[in-house]
Amino acid sequence: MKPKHRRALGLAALVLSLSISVGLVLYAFRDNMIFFYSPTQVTETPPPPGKIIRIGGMVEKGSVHRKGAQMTFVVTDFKNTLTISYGGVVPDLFQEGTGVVAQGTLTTPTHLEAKTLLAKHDEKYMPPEVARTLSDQKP
Amino acid sequence: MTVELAHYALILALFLAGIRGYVGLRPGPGTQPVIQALVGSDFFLTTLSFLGLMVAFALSDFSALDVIINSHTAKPLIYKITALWSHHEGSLLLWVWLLSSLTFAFSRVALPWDVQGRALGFLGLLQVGFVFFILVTSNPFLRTFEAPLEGLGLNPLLQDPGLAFHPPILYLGYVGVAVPFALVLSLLVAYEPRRPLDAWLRPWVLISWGALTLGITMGSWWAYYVLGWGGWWFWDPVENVALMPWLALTALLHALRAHAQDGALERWIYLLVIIAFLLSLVGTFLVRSGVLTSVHSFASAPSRGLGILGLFAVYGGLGLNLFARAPLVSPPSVVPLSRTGLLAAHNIFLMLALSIVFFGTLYPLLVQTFGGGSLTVGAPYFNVTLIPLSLPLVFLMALGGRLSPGNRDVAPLAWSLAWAGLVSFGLVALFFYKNKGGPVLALVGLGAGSVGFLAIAQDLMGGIRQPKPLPWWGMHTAHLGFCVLILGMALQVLLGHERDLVLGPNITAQAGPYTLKLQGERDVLADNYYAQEVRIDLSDGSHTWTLAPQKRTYIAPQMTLSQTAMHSNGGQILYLALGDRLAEPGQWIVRFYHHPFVPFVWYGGFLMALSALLGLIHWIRRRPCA
Repeated sequence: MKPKHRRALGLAALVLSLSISVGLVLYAFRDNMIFFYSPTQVTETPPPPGKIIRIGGMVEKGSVHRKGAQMTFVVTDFKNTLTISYGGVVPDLFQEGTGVVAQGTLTTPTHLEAKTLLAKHDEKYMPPEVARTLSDQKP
Repeated sequence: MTVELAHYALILALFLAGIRGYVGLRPGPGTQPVIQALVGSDFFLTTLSFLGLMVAFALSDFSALDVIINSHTAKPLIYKITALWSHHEGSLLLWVWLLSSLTFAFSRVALPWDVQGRALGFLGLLQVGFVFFILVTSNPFLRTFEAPLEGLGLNPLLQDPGLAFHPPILYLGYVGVAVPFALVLSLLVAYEPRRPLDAWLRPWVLISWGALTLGITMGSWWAYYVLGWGGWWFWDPVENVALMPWLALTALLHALRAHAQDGALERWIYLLVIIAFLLSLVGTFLVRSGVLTSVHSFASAPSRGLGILGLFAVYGGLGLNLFARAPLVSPPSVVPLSRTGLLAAHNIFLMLALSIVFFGTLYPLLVQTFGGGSLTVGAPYFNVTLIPLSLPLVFLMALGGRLSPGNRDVAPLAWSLAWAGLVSFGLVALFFYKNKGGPVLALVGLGAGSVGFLAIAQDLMGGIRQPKPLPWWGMHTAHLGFCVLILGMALQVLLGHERDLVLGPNITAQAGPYTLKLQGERDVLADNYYAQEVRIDLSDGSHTWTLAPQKRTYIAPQMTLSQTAMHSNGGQILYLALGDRLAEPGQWIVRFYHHPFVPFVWYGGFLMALSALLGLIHWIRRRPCA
């Protein structure tokens, strides 16, 4: 094979594999952007149905109920609330009165079926998004 | 007193580094003893400063604010000491100390003085920037004159042998890029084509890359056994931010070989070093400022984030400016199907991987800044895009390992890999059939990993018969490590299972071939925590092991954490984590993982770190005497 043809073949192979890569990137990216909502944002700008989202807020005191492996609780941003149910092992840092972020899908506009719970281990027990939305609330 | 001494030592070091920066930029022959003296005293002063803070922690000197916030008398001594780098201020002091130590080591190596002197000057400028940042925004030596009797304690998640030593190793990786960066800046100022970049940069790149590899591997192992979710990588921003400089440095290691052989890729290498350093600064910025929600981040004031952004702008601007102005000469063009060509292709793929990780990690930040709300990029994005890249990379690796420099005859070597390809294909088909479809990504990983593993194993067998030089062993160890890592990842996904089970006095649970039975509970009291321990008998039919996971409540700060219990035979891990106690008496939710081959993930990482050590040994043996 002439060097010129070889180079052309090499270049074509490279361009092809790069295009496949970029295609994979865009495809994977579209499905994996998980947006964060506060309870107020869920009521005002409801997310598209069936998509995985994250919801964060403070766990309302007295709202945690456990039944076997299932747990339900209420998150609030002091303007609106949302019920969350979760069936897995609860992270150790999860407590009433602290911030939490739940990832899952909405079954109804006021209820989230969570697959993952995030409670940060940081000196101040509040994920930055939750802190930001809470501080945005203050008039 | 110790704290004040340490504080003044640091301030003095700042001024001396400034003088070094000034003198270093015009390195005539007469400046050598001056700069060497400045480097030596800088090292002495920063060590004094670092040790001073360490003594304050060890003695629980609560007149220092830093010690109050991060320590407690009830902590074991080792964790009092490692608390020094567990938080923002102390870890920056560690950063500066490592920079000073590496600068000192660098000054002991023989290099042409005009290059080395200027590089030491640039390192002085780096030192100035960071020490100034510490003194102004993150001073660990702030005192309070009503010293309390007790501190606030340390996050119990950090009171762990694995994590105690993870920061210094990882920081060595980050800071280590500073030396090649300073060298490159120096070389750009006085540019000459075809400098011996491989010989001059290699040892520092190896130290940095090896430390990052080890640090990331240790972090992954720690996350697996402490965080209780049985995962070893979460594509969390803090993890990605260590991975990005690692990818850049891996590319650099390969590009330097191409340059050593043909003088190829010269302009690219200069740029890549600058990119690698900027990525390690980005890593510092993202970890420090708490901007992204991540599994672990130090909450921090915005002034610090802005300060680091400022440093990034200054050093990035300096580097890129010098790069743009240097009269860089076009290096010889690369022949595609040659060793150099394969190395260049490797760099292209690694840069692609780097861009993917960069985009996925920083896109949320961009969206947030422009008011688009808060978002996270899920793990599948990274997996879908990066795992397929392992196929071309493994192919390049297997081929490149067999191609000697100057050999253009690639075709027969490619055919020599055919047997490995066939065996791997068979293996993949077997799993595909067994799992009735099976997770595609894991199968891809399995295929790539086994092709590489078989090919390299074959090469290594050949190497045992004929004597080979140390660099050859180093290369194959690193490549083998990578394949072992991918195999571990794939096999764990294909063969493992995870279950949440309810266990109680009369309840036995079954998970695959394993039976779990609750034996009993007891209370445990220790230095700084009290715990409920549950003893569980785990049996696979022929052997029974007793595992005792705990739920610990730490005293300062008040925090409850699970302590996982594991059993391993070196090839797999059986893992138990306590969930919640249920309302019914004696009943617990227990999370059980059976993870075959997961230790291979960390064996692979350790093999790669070992290869860095081999490379360093080779360099130490052959380096020119000072």
